[in-house]
Order: sequence, then C-alpha cells, then structure tokens
Amino acid sequence: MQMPDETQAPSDLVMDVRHLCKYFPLSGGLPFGLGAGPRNIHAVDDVSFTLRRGQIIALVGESGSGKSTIARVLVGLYPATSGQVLFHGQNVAKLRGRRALLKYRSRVQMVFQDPFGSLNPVKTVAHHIQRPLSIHKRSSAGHSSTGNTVVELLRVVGLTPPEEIAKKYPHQLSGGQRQRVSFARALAVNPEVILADEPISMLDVSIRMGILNLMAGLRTERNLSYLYITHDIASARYLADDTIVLYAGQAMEQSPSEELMAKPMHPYTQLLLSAVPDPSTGLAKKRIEARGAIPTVINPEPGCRFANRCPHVMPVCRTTTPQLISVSPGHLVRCHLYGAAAA
Amino acid sequence: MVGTQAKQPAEPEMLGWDNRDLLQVRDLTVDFVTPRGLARAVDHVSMTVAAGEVFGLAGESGCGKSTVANAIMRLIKSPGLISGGQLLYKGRDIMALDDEKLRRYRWSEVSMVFQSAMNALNPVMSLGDQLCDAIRAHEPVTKKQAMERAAQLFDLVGIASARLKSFPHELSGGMRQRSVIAMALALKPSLVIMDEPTTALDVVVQRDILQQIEDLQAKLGFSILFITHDLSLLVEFSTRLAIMYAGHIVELAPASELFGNPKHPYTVGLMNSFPSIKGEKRQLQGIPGTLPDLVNTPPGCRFAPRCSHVMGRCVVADPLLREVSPGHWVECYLYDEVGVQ
Repeated sequence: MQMPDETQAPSDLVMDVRHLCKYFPLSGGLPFGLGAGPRNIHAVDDVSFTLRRGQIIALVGESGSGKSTIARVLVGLYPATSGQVLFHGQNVAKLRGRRALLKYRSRVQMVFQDPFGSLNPVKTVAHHIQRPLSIHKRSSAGHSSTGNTVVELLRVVGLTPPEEIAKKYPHQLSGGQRQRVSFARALAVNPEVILADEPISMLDVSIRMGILNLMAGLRTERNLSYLYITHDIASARYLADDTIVLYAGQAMEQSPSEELMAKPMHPYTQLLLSAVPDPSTGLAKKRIEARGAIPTVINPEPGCRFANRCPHVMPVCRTTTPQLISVSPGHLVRCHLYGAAAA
Repeated sequence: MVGTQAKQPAEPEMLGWDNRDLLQVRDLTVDFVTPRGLARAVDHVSMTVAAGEVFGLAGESGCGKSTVANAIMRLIKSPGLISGGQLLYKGRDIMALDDEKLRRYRWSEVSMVFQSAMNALNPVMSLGDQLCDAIRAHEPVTKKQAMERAAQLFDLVGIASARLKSFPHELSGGMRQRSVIAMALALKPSLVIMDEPTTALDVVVQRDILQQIEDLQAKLGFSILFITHDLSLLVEFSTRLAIMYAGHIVELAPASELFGNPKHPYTVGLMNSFPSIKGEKRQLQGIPGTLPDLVNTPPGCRFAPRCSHVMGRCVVADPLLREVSPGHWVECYLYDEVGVQ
C-alpha cells in the first residue's frame, strides 16, 4: 500500500484517493435548523489509497462499513463531501461537461453485485454489450464490426459458444454466466479500472472461483486495475495485492494482503479473521467475544469507532481519534496500541 | 411418475437407522410441475437425523436442500408434490397426519428458522405479540403467562426483554435473527430446521449467532437440521453432513471424515472453492460448468457433465449411494468396486 506522497512513476499511478469523506445529511429533527444543528452520517471518513496500473486492491468490510459508498464516489455517482479523487492527476470532481464525464466513465467501469438486477430482462446479451460501444462511440464502423466485438468480448470472458450466448436473454443464463456478461459489458469500452462491488457474493460457491480467476486473468492480459469490494476477507487474500479493512467508514488497516492475513495488527482485523469459517482449522473450535455491530456514525465525537467492541480498549481510545500510522513498509494501522511505534 | 429409474434404494437398515433416530427421510422424491414437464427437485433422498445431533445439509442453489426442509414441514404446495418416499418423525408417518395433528406437529415438534428474518416476522406486530401468538396457538396459557415465557426466551438468546415491545424494523439483522430463533424454540421442539439462518448476516455476527445456537443446543438438547451453501461453516458446526447436488445426496459422512477425506468429485470441487486465510496460497479452480436442467434430465450421474473423472458408464445409469467406509456414503462409480449396470 502506498501513501500518496511516496515516490511512484506518475504514469503508473492510475487513481489517487486522498482523504476522501462522504457524509449523508439526515433529515428530521427540529425545523428551521433549531436544535443540535445539522446531523450527518459519516459513511466514509478520511480514506486514502492509491491504485497503480495492474494493481488489485480489496476493500473489505461488513455491511455499513462504507465500502460501496467509496465505489460510488469514485465513479461519480455521489459527490465527495471533502477530499479528492485524482484520476491520472486530474480531479474527478472538477470534470465538467458530458464529453469529459463520458471519457472518465469509459476509463473507470463498474461491475455490480446483483447479476439479476444489473441486466435488463427484455434485452439480449448482445444488446448489453453493444450499448456501451455505441454510447462511447467505440465502434465507428458498421454494425457487423460491432457484432464481431461482442463475440470477441464474450469469448474473452469465457462464455462459449459466444455466437449463441449473444442471442440469449438474461433469464436463460445462470448467475455466473450473467456476471460474466457484466464483465464483458464493462470491458467493452476498454477501461483501465474496474470497480467490482461484491461481484461473487450472490453466486454459487462452485462458480465463484471461476469469476475470481477471470478477474485475475484479465488483470494479467490487459493490465487492468481493480478495486475489489467484498465482505469475504479470504477472497481478498486470494485476489488482491493489497487489502484495506474498513470499519464504520474508516480504514482501520491497510497492507499487502499476505501480510495482513499473516500479521493482523488492528483488533478489528483480528476479530474479522477469527470469525471466518475455516475448515482447515475449524474442527478445533475457537470462540470469539465481540458483541455488537458496526455503529452508524452520526456527528462522531473524537475517539476510536471500534472502542466499544475492542478487547484492548484504553482510556485514550475514547477521547482521541487514532490516526493511520505506518508499522512497517506499506502496512498502516489506525490504532492507539501501536502509537509508540509511530516514527 | 415421470423419469422413474431402475434404481434400487438403499435399505433403511443399511443406513443404520434405529430408535434413537428422530427423523427418518426414506427415498423422498419431490417433483414440481412446470410448463416444460416435471422437474425432479429431490430424487430418492434418504437420511436420518439422530436425537441431539446437528445434521448439515449442504449444496448450491437449486440442489433441493430447501425442498427437503419444506417437505419435512409438509410445506410443499402446488405446483410441487411429494411423489414418493416416506417421512417418519419419531417413527410416525408425517404424510399421514391430519390437519389437527399436523398443526401440533409443526412448531411444537419441529420448528423452522428461515433465512430472511425480515420476511419471517410480521412487520406490523411487536415481537412480544408475535411470540405470544405462537405460544398461545399451541398452549392454553394467558397472555400474561405467554409474555413471561417470551421474556425468558429473549433472555435465552441474549436480547433484553424490553425489546419485546419493539417492532422488527427497529432491530439489527442479528437481533432479528436471534428473535426468530427464540420463536423457533418457544414450544421446546425436538428438531429445529435452520435454512440458511446466517447467510444474510455479516461474518462476525454470523459467528456470534452460531456460537449461541451451539450453546442453546447443548443446553436444551434439541436436534438441528442445518441447511446452508457454506460448506466451510458446516464442517465446523455439524456432527454429520450430507452434500446434495441436483436433487441427490452425493455424499454423506461425519463432518471430520468428510473434510479430511472427501470422496465425491463434487465434494472435492466444493472444497477447492473456498479460499483460505491461512497456509499456502494456491490456485483454486471451483467447478466449471453449470447445474443440469432438472426437467428431462439425461440418464446417468447428474454431475457427469461437470466431472473431471467422468467414465463411460457415468452417462448410462445412475450410480448408487454406497457405504465406502463406516458411516461414509458416496454416490459415485469411482468408489464402486462391485459395479452396477
């Protein structure tokens, strides 16, 4: 994991997310601004990371941790409250006009969780892949070349025979096949970055690996970068070079995936890893003690957001918000336990 | 009956059934009438749940695991029908129960926890009222007595009894699932069927609830039929488990045996579908291909089109579920020394 200020060949750096915050205002309370003042849900609070060409970063967290909100800010579905998203050095929030937005969106594509909801049930597979081609004017040539592109894309994502699949409707495909269509659609505009929001969580277990292997293969072949959003930390280890663990809108730990799994530093990461069913060690049962759930953070007081559930909680955790500190090269932790180690 | 096969069902005695068995499923077959013909969702499934046991039933969507659960509760409705087999609960035939006996059988003998707690609860009734309803439908107690029982039940699953006044939308997903579990335990059933009880929950909450189910089971001694697609979780949690594929039980074994020594190619494939957080990082393949069509299924093993060990006879006739070592049953020709035409 690279901090923004670390040296890196500029062309290699695709996305640079700096101190990203996204707050959602709450309605309700007293009218005319009386009472406690504006109330905001802090869905994402001060998240920074860089995504290099060909890199896969996993955003891991439970529901309510803010991982999907980050993806939505990155593609411009939500404006950021503060902080910056730089794409090749350009501030995404400053993009103006249809042309600039189109260009950005053709570089950064998204794949959604639900392979049933994200495809139009009354349109063929071919239609889904032609739409981005025509919207982004990728096929200036005639209709036949579009057809070739569709077939080629379907082959790339492993749907065979592509000519047959192109004519089918979403309901004629299995969940895994539909998710492959989603990837073909995203690839149609030849993006640099794919934001994949829980792409395998609704699929049957036997076909999940196929999709992850497809993603890994596309990374190698096309030098794609991914932001892989998941609640499944084991799949993050499988796919991603680096992993960011989110809790209540904040990055609690970010590190190369292998190091994170082998040496989890933050108590929340440790909790998350201990809760994963693991058949290889599972027969010796281990108990966890972590009552409670992710809080909804509304106008937070200073302090660590995990303090109420943390087995190592100290007085300072309730009064001072911990900062992300580097505990070893590329390994950042937001926890007072490692305060003394901060150089 | 469509698609009847020259299949010899395993003899009940061979499966080691005895009086300690709470629930016996014998050759259960469930069909669904579809415009294209009959879809055989469950095909000659036999299994037993012993008293005090956690029996796991694992499989992917469409494999028939939830249909088995619904059949045990006699909840199969048109266009589905139980077209063959026997369901015995404490030796009594469930299929023969009349309406009144069925009403008493459901919930006070066998209760069920569904996957989506939000859908299982009535959104416009407080949790206390819903629990009282369930209790008073079966036992002649006053509202006040029922409410006291409800408070005890909430205490049992670790929810403050003040929450009895709450409505479902006021609780977190984990608390809703706990209250559904409380409701399932309200009438002290001998068997609780849990159909994906933790699938919609976050992993930490899931672990917490599983621990609680385990504690309750140890304390109250009920049996659990635990249905999930998450094999890694079942291996940890169950005593014995069965793997279902396309309506068949393809493998049945004690959990540790199944994990340490999986036999059926499908089970092996499933085991290779879960990345681990520990140990050597290795390339996982999953299982290529998709589930077969359950209408007009071709003869032979239903896993044959996806199987890497497929042989000539696999596509000719169905293999039988055979005991390959004590308590370990596999439905695959690879482990079939005798050979069946």
